[in-house]
Amino acid sequence: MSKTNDSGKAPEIDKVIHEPSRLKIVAQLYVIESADYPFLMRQLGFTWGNLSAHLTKLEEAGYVAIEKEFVDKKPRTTVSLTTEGRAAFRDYRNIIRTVIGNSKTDSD
Amino acid sequence: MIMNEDTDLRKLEQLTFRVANQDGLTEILMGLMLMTIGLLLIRSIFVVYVSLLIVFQTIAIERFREKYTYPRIGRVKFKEEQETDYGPLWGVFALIIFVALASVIASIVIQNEIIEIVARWAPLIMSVGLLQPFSFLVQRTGLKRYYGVEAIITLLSVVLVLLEFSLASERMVIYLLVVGGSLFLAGLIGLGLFIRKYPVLDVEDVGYEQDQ
Repeated sequence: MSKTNDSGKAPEIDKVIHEPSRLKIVAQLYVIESADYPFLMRQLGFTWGNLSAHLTKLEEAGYVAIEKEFVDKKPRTTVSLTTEGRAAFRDYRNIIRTVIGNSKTDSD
Repeated sequence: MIMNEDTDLRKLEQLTFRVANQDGLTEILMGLMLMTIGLLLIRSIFVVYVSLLIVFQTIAIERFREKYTYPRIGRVKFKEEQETDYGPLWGVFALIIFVALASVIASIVIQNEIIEIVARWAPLIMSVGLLQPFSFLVQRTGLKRYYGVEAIITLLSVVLVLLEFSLASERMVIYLLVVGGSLFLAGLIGLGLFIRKYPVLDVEDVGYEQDQ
């Protein structure tokens, strides 16, 4: 989880979201309500296995909800960001802003 | 992709909207609607088709997308506030369109100088009204070219207003058929390109079996 350190040290970055592929997934899900696997694969350029592996990690962290159902005898998997996932992404963005802001100040 | 900027998320949202709506269906339906309204001014029987379009368009779009769009690019659901983004400007849009069409219809049955003047300018009034849906499309897709389409439509309406017609309704019929027909054609081309570009995916079956 991403938390600001009280001792004045650099804030802790959420490693689950920080991984580039998962960051792409979370950012994509953040701007929509939900999407199915084919849409995410096309949009993000991932293979089924790759997407599935990253989504499992995000699901374990409680950031995404994965719903599997059968529609007209065909499987459909819908993915959406949970409330915790949205909050975590917002926190992550705030921390990145802070870190970048601090590094700019340091170099000045 | 820098994710710490609101603008990047906005661009991502716009890109997602463009991808989800690249099947040309929006243009096809918008074109069909304008053409049918145009035909309604010639034959009143077309009021049935306009009603059918309004009532069944949501079901028709979903059925079509189930069969042709989703198997190719997958499905995405936008946030509720994005889907029902109806501000007061949509009310103004509806009012402007109503005034333009009502004046033309009234000019057919009533001989009145003021109605005649409004009916003459109806295509231009309609073009002003269409600014709202085109602005909406620019906002949702990030594509400024929709303003260009609006500019061309406005130019066409100005030309039609300046030309002399025996009936004001003729001017409006030509306007609606040309604009509607162009949008319909653009949508059909978009649909053709979309079907050609994206073959039907069966990844969901493959992936599901892999997961088992």
